[in-house]
Amino acid sequence: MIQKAQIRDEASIITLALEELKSILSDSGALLLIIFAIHIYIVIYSMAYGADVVRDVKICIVDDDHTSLSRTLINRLRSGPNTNVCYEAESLEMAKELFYSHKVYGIVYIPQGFERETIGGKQGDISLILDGGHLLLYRQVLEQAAADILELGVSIEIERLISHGNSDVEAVVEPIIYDSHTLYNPSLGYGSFVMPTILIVIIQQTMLIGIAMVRLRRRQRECHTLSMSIKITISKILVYIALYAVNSTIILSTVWPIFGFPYNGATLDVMILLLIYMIAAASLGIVISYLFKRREAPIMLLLWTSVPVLLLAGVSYPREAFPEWLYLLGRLLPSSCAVDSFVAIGTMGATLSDRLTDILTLVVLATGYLTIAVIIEYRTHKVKKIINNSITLKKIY
Amino acid sequence: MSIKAILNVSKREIKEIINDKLYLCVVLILPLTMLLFFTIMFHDGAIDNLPIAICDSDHSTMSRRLKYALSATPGVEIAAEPASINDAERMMLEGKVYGIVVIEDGFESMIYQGIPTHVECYISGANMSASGVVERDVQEVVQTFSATISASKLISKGYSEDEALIEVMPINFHTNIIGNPYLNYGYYLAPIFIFMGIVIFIVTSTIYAIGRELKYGTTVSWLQSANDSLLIAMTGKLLPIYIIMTLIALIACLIIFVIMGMINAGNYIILTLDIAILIIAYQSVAIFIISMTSNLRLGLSLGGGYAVMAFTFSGITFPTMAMFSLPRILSHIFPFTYFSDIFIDEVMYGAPTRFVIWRFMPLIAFTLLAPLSWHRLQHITTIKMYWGRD
Repeated sequence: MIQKAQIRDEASIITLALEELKSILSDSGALLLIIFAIHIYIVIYSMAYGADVVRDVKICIVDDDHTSLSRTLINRLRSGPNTNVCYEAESLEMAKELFYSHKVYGIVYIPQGFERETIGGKQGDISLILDGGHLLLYRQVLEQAAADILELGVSIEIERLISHGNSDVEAVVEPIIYDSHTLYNPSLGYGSFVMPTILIVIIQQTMLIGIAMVRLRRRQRECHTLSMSIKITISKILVYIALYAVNSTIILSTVWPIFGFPYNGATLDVMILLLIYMIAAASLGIVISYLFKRREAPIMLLLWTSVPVLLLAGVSYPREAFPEWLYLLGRLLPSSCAVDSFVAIGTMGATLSDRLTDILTLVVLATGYLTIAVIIEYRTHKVKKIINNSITLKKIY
Repeated sequence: MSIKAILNVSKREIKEIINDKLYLCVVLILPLTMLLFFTIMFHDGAIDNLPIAICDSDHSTMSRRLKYALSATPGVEIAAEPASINDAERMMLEGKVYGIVVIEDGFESMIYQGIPTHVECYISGANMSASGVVERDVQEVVQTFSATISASKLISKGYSEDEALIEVMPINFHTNIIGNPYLNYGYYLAPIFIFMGIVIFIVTSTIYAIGRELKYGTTVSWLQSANDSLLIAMTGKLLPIYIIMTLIALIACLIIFVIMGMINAGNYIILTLDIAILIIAYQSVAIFIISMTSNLRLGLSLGGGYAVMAFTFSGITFPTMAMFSLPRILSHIFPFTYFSDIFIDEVMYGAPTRFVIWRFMPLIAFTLLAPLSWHRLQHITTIKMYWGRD
């Protein structure tokens, strides 16, 4: 007996890692989750968000004015890239029907007397009816329509000022020229914005569920010493890092260029960040895996957390919109820090030193979860050993 | 009599729910936990005081006035005034600001001399939800500021205040945002996120309810409790889950309409129907998945993955109409797409019923998946080789 235990203690990290790898590969459920799920998810999400930019949003125009000025405005709206004038409705009611039937996503209403008031020294008034249920559609229609209306307004203003005998027209019309520039994702593509976050969240979530599933599959090695539990924990982490490193390299080098998602990161910086992140996530996975007894438990108890995990990263919903304490609590998840820093380093081209706080937080999380994992590994088996011993004692007596 | 038989099975199921901690968690405890989380996350809903940096190279009265106007707008907050644009970009990379506003040197003197001057705004496309607010608010402030200067120039030329304003802006426009008049970000995102979460629990709990009978080989005692009628056995089993999920959805509505204060522009009957059919549709999908896989864990993996994906394809964040054709077709295989369409049309737009009612058809069609899997279901619940799989 004693000899056998000693032999087990001498198992090298590599042997242990191969054992873990074998149990992943021999279980279709774990294989699906750890190796294939990430690719399936990323491809499907990239396809869904891959069109990136919303163009040609269908809109409807209601022209109650029927004048040359209203036609000029309609022609401007027709030529814009963001909107597509599909219908010209007779009345506002008809236009709303088109809106409710999802045939158009915005309505421009030109009231009667528009030209008379604009030209006649009063103010013409246009109504924009916009879709508050889909912010991207709202934004595209508003931007296009507002720009067209303002431009038309400026040209009328210039005409009028000149006719009134003003000389310094330019300065009066536009004393301040506003220029807006979008950095890092110039076309404001939605996929480019959201995919880095999705990648980071999927890595963590499949790791958490997968590690627990694998642990519950096979009889665990008994570890009687602290050094053995360190070895076991490290061997597991090595296996998962290796698998996920391959997975993320494949994704970043194929899916990203195919869909044209921006990537400005220095390779070494991204690698170091992902490495620390994966150590933290895998360690958290090992810690959590001890909470479950049945193999169906991890997916049932962890799947839903993807939604809060995504929200806590503060991307779909900015961190300024939810309580600060919840944001800080969210920092306990490796994904939260990793999303911020991966977006900054990968997409925006920041360096590791720019994101020192995130990196340090991740290092602290990785060290913390790793330590807890080792302790739990050691204690669980120690307890088991004591129970086993007491059972044998009972048997003897 | 048959009702009595159904209730008999339900009684057995409720006992199982209470005795099986995992079951209890996924049916009741976790959904409630999630609702609590969403309440904390979304109860405010407005995005205020997003930090921006200002590089003011002019340091004049005029540039101070512009800065004052920017800090008075609710959406943004001036977090820093770095010396150079490089310092400002560093702050953006460090995640400290979402936007940079640059006021050029000579800003004031150019305005007085009548030479057009520039104000540049840089936003980060890597964080679209925040940068959208920054862009909108900064643009509005700068353009209003510019218009005020134009008007005051005209006033100095002898125009009256009203005349000057009309002269500066001969065409005005106003917006009417259907469904979300104040453009509350929480109103737009929260309901769909919350119901998405509930869908995950509907699917996992239903698959688990049936799958555990297979895994632990207890289908015989389950069917016996229903006098060997699969219909009674299934109805009795799913009824408690259905009722609990309806109550969870009711609490979700309380959160959305009472705590968050969103207004239901449509009627509650349509909303109730929408939720009622959504639950049946996803329970049917779950029955289909577990009967096809006849394996609890595989069923949970597939069902879970399918449930989670529905959010993307509902088109709330990125509209379905703008997707490539393949994902646009894919969006039709999720009941959630139809549910969220009806929800937005009814609750947010307050669309007349005749536009909404036919959207129920595809949602109802999903409930046919249950009868479609009936034959297979009878097969796997009675033949031993399908039991005890892991």
